[in-house]
Amino acid sequence: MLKNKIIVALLFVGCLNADEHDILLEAKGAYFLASNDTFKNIYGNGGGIYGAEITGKVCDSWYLFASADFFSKNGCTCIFNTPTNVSIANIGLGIKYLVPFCYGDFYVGLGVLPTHLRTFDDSPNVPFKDSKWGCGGIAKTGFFINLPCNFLLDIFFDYSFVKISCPDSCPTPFTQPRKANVSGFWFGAGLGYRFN
Amino acid sequence: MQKLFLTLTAIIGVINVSHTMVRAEPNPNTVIYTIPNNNFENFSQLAFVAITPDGTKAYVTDQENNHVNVINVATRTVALVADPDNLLNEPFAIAIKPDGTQAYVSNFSNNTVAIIDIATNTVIGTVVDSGATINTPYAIAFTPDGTKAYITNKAVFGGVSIVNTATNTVTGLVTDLVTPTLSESTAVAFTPNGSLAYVANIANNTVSIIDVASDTVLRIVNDPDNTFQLPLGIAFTPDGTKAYVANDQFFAPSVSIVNVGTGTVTGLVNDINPQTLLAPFNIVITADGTTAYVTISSNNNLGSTVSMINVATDTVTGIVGNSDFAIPTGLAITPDGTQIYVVNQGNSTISIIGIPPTNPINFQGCKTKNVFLMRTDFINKLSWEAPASGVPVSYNLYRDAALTQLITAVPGTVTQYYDHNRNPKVTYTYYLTAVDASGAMSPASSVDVTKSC
Repeated sequence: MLKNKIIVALLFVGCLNADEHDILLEAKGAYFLASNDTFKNIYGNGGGIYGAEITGKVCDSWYLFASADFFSKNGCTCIFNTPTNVSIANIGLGIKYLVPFCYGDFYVGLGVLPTHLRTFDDSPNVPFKDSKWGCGGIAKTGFFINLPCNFLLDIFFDYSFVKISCPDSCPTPFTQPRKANVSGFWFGAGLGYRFN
Repeated sequence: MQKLFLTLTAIIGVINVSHTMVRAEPNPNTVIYTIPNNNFENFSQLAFVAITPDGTKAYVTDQENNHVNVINVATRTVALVADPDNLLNEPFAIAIKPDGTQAYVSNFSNNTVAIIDIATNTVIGTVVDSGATINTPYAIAFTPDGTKAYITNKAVFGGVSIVNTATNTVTGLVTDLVTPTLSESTAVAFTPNGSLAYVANIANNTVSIIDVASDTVLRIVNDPDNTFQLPLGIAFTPDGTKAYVANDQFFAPSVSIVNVGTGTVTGLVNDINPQTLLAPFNIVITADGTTAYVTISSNNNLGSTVSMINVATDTVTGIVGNSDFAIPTGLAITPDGTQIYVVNQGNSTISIIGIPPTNPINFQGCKTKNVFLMRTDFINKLSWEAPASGVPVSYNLYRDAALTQLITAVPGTVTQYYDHNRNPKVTYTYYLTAVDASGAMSPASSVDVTKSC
């Protein structure tokens, strides 16, 4: 599964219009604000999510983007206070539409968001580790603000929507699998370099 | 991808237990141990037993050898009470002060009452009786506050000697020459609040009621059907509303029921088998007031036995056993309510009956769940309270009424259990029993788990 994603990412890079020479590479950080109550009950409202993103011009104002982000947090279940940890790895692939303005570009975007979810639950009554891939989507909006020497600042606000089913191989028949909802809002910024 | 390590910070106190098939049934009252006669002197004739309030020692009188034996309850070992001045003389009844410091022993043959120091297991003297009121002393009882003791005298119109327990001195004699009663008095018991004493008189088959504050006979128990026949044992229920009187007659089963409020016999205990209450000798009632135990020493078809009476229904519910006893006479319940010591005069042994705990009370269950991000652990939460009687060392939890599917056994200090990984669409029924140190198991309490927590 991961290999497929890498191949898709390479194809994405290959699709970029080299003649246009407008490629934006950035490292970014954001606050992930979960929108699902179960997630919030266990892990709190959210936490930091970190990653990198590349955006490249395809034609006119249309750009493709590819991103990789990682989130991890410890928590405790309600009532029983069972320690647990969640880690989320996202790979984003999609399209952006950039609208120039005097200090840079405003953009909106939409993409798919293959996501790997892994949980560690410290309870003898459920599997200690659950791990599974799933696929969701992401909607993006933000500003690329031009800085001197081709650097740029990305101020963004995204929303990801991802639901991942429990792994099929449930070893305990009465442990009820549930669909994990790891959707949420991203408020963040990135610092990048614009190759053009 | 970054590797994660989860820090284990706490473990919830629950255990996932595999289901085990076991065979288990509530234990009836059984003799769990017999102290053999080689623990006692040759030719012993054991009579009565009394247990200290702290439950560590049991004292047994030996009429034949003029000794009192002391049993270590924990080890069940026997030793002789030291009697350096040979003050014991055909010791018969024995009673222990509520504060556990001294025991009184009636010396049937020399009209004295010996005093045993509990701490040293030594006879330290006799009750001072300058008025020579004590005449063939038989039964002894202390008031609940321990300030006073009554000693019944088996002599004709011998009355009841009154003892100031602080000074170990006889302060007077209760007599009733008007009715007349208090003649050949064989048993005495105080109401739990200490206001009244009942005294059984075999000379005229009556039970006298004594006002303890004034040490005077108020009247005799009204017995319209003349149920009192050779009354030998008296016991009050803990709430003081009812008294049982054991009538040592051989020709008809007889334990009289007395309404203490009215001072009237209301009937006889129902006897499912006419043999089980034939010639009852002594009687005790458990601290929770649910069951009375009666020594049956008659030579009937059942032989010697100990019968059990359901106090609520005044009905014999069964016998402890007919092969474990030999002319049982005195009996006493340990303060924790788990065991009964029974004196077998017929073979000079002590039978120890294990009283199973009563069933756990307030057994409740509700559905809850432990929600993880990718799983939900559906849980039935069970809780209960300790039995009204008995000291459980563990609780057994089952999923079937036959008590074969043991889910878990939790320590006696635990009164809650979480049964994990339940099917949320199924209504589970649980059965819970209490088990004491001897392995005796209570009847089961059950609960259907239908509600959410």
